[in-house]
Amino acid sequence: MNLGEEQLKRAISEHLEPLRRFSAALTGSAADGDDLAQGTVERLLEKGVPRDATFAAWMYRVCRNLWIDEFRKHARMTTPGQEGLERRMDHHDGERAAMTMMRMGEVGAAMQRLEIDQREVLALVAIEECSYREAAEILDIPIGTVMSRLARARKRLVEMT
Amino acid sequence: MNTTEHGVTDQMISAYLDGALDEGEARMVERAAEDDPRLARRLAQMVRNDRMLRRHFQSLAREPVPEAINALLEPSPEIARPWWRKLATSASGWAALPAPLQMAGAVAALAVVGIGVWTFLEQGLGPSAGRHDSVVARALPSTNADLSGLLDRQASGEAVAFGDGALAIVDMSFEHAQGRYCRQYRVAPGAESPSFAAVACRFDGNWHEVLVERIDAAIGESGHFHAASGPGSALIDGYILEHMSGDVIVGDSEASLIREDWSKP
Repeated sequence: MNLGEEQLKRAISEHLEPLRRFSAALTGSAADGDDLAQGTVERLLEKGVPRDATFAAWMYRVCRNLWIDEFRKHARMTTPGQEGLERRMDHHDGERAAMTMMRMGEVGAAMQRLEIDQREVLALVAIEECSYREAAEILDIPIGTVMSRLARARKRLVEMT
Repeated sequence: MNTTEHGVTDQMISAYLDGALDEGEARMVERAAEDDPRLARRLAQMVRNDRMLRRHFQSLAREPVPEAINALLEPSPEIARPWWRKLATSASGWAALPAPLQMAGAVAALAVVGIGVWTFLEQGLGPSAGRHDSVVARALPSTNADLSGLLDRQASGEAVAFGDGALAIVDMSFEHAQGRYCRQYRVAPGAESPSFAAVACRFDGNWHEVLVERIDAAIGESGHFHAASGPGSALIDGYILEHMSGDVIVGDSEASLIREDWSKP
């Protein structure tokens, strides 16, 4: 293990916002995202970070693997459905900022209807702004696969929104 | 994989958004978008979707940190924790700093490229703004010749070096809901100074910066900026989402505006 416990805690603290953002993007909600983020923090503190790993990339990888391994099979993820969207629409007037809020929620909900492999690529590249190479390393897939999944994800999002 | 009649694939469009195409392919996408309004709309929708996703999940990530996570990250009791470390933990990113400090930092960055005198006013961004996203910088007309020249004449997506070594790029051009043309750009002053992203709008014959945000990194690993988005620039994303009217201006449309000195038809 490269980092001591206190160093590791500091590194995690410094990356907590990206971790919570990525977790929310994968799970679709702040609450489920924080559960995933907490599990990731526990896993990082327990297992440490390999000496030759980039911290952020390793953190995303641990988070994604945890999501795949545990959260997904327990089906605790929330997918905001049409009902939620309609409720949000009722509560907003037609002003530009409110419309933006509504659209943001709509696009976020649409993302949760993507295939898992498309969602995780979209989260890494479009939201976390990883390079294709970084995303490929985190997901352990070829760069070409990153590009094709990303293209499909963006196309599907346009169709759904 | 779908291919338009111009030979542009979905993957090329997606890679264009990420600044991952070479020059020739990027121009091919832009020409196709000029010729095909449906493609132009799809491109603009993808730009919007990316920005909305970033802003949506950024706002979720800025909810108060659950106590369970804070407890995990508390330092061990036997180790004294300097006061500044607590501050660094609670303000782990630029956007978490108190707003006046954010803008002070932005001014410091801008001073490097010599923009000149800035005034700031606090102004909400509307209900979609996060609790840290509450400051809009309002500038006097830019007095920096390099920057004015960049905004006047440079096509989006092409990085240029200023005389003082700063690297700059215009990310995108768009029409503001108030009928003005605006451009989002980024400047990397150099290793010693932080990079920043900004939006400037053209009115009264000058470019006026309406929003400035410090960003962690301005240049991607390839040496190029993203074509239509900025790393970690949540304020900028929010501003554009709320104020952009119509499609992103690319290719010949942008070139035409550059030739006509950004005058309204």
